[in-house]
Amino acid sequence: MTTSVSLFPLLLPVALTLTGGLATLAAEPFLAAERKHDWLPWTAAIAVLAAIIALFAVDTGHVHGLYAMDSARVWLCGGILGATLIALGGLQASLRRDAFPGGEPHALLLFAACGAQLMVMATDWLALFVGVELASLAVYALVGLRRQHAESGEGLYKYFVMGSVFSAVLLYGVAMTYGATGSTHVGAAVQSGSLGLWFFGQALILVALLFKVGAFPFHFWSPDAYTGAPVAITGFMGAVIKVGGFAAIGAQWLALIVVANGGGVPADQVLFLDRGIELTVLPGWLSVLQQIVLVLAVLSLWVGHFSGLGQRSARRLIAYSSVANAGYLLLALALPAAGSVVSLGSLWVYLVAYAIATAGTLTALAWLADHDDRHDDLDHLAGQCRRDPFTGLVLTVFLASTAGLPITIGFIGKFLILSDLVAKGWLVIAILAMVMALIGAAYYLGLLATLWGSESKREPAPARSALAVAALAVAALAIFALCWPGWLVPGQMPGNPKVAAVSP
Amino acid sequence: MVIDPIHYQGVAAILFAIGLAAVLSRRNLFVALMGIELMLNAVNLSFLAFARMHVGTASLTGQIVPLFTIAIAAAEACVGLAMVICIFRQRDSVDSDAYASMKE
Repeated sequence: MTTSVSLFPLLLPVALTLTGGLATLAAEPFLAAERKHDWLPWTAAIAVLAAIIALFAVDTGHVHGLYAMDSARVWLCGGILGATLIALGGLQASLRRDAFPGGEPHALLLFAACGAQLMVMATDWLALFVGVELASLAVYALVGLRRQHAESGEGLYKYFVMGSVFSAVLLYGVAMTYGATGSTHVGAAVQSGSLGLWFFGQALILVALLFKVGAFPFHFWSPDAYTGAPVAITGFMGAVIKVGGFAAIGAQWLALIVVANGGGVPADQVLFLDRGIELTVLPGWLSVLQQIVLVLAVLSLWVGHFSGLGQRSARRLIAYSSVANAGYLLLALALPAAGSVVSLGSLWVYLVAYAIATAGTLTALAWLADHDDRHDDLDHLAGQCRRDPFTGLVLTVFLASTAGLPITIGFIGKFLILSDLVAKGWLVIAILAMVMALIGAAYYLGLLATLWGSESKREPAPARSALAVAALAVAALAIFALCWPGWLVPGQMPGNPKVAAVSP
Repeated sequence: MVIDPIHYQGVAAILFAIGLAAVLSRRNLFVALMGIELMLNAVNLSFLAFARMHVGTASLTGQIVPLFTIAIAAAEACVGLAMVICIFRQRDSVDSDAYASMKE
């Protein structure tokens, strides 16, 4: 059992992120207004970089059964921190451009990153709830950043009220799970005669998490919230909350399999996300749950791609794209026949690919969208890439990755999910997803064609940020570099599952 | 009539439903915030009632969780009230019908 000795190294990345957030918050009142957007983003970026370096040094293990670290969680935390770094650059550029009076958004960004990392690391429902709330509360404040804009207030209102309701639903699910197991530990064994109560609780938790990641039919908030938020924040909230939410869904899925096998995770052991579990029997309730998840996945793909086609606002377009991507991610949860090993490697690869590409796309778009983000519709964005070739180039890389073109990490993610589906025997759904992926690719390439197409009629905004240039350049290189064979975290790739996910 | 823990679960479920109905149906922002608080407090009641049904450390877990929930609900109320002030300055109204200009 891992004792408090390793508590510090395990939580070091979160602690460094938190320190960065608190440091920028403490320094903010002492800086002159025009210097705030020079110093604070860099302070925050140094903390995030330190956290990324710390990720290479963390141990595998867990802290009193509350938070755990393993190679999949390191990879996901890396995705969160990478998206945070990109968003810091975008935030610096747009806050400086709009002369935003105040430096607290940088701190809020880091607090949200802390919450998302805690969601990834949580192995206890209470710890997960605390992480969800830490991330959500910071993101609510970021969505409402442009206080003078009516659409900002409306997007925030819808997001806040629905987000709070589903947080309460999550907690009610935890209460029922606790009632049925006597513990808030993820995967705790169900007491005899309480299976119905336990299943109802788990279903409520799953519904709440599906809301957080914006999957159909819980996606209705995302277009409005994405449009209300500043463009630089839209990418961050889409990327980071989705990584946290899907890590939690993945952990829950492995826990469901443990319980389906008739076992449970003891209080002093945790589920590691980078290992597979053998599914010995497929009980009826799990089979039904899986079918519901797959139907929701296909409907998410459908709604995301077809509602997105007619959108003129780049933010709404990305919002529907995020619904569609939630669909691909849900497909990774498909179960094989009883007797095979379930591992979620493809989910983790796709998730980080999506996070980096989305944060990058929106940061680059924030740059092109002019003062107060008022020109983020396709008519005004047309031809902007020609004016600003660097931004155009990185945007092309990110959109190519989201579209799933080869030699990008996005392609690897889509390929792994679809080939997993075929291997598990869900051929029809795999073909359907393939067709949807082609429609999706058309939609992203169409956006690119608009951006590079006609000659632009307006000057690009003068906003520049060295941090954003550096972060975007590194992220665009990472899109290619992560495809290098063997660079993906070992033990993550499907086909290499280590059985026995439960480990002391 | 003997009051069993299961009756407390019934009360918690009813309170949760009332809170949910308040959030979804009432147009006043403050009533919506109160509905959210009611939902979280209903969950607290549910946790405490379950804690009575378990023994030993299992019971302790259910008694600790509401402490976390109370703190988080307070933080959520803070953000919610800040949001209401923000919106009120834009529209001079606390009626949520005033914030339905966005469409599909």
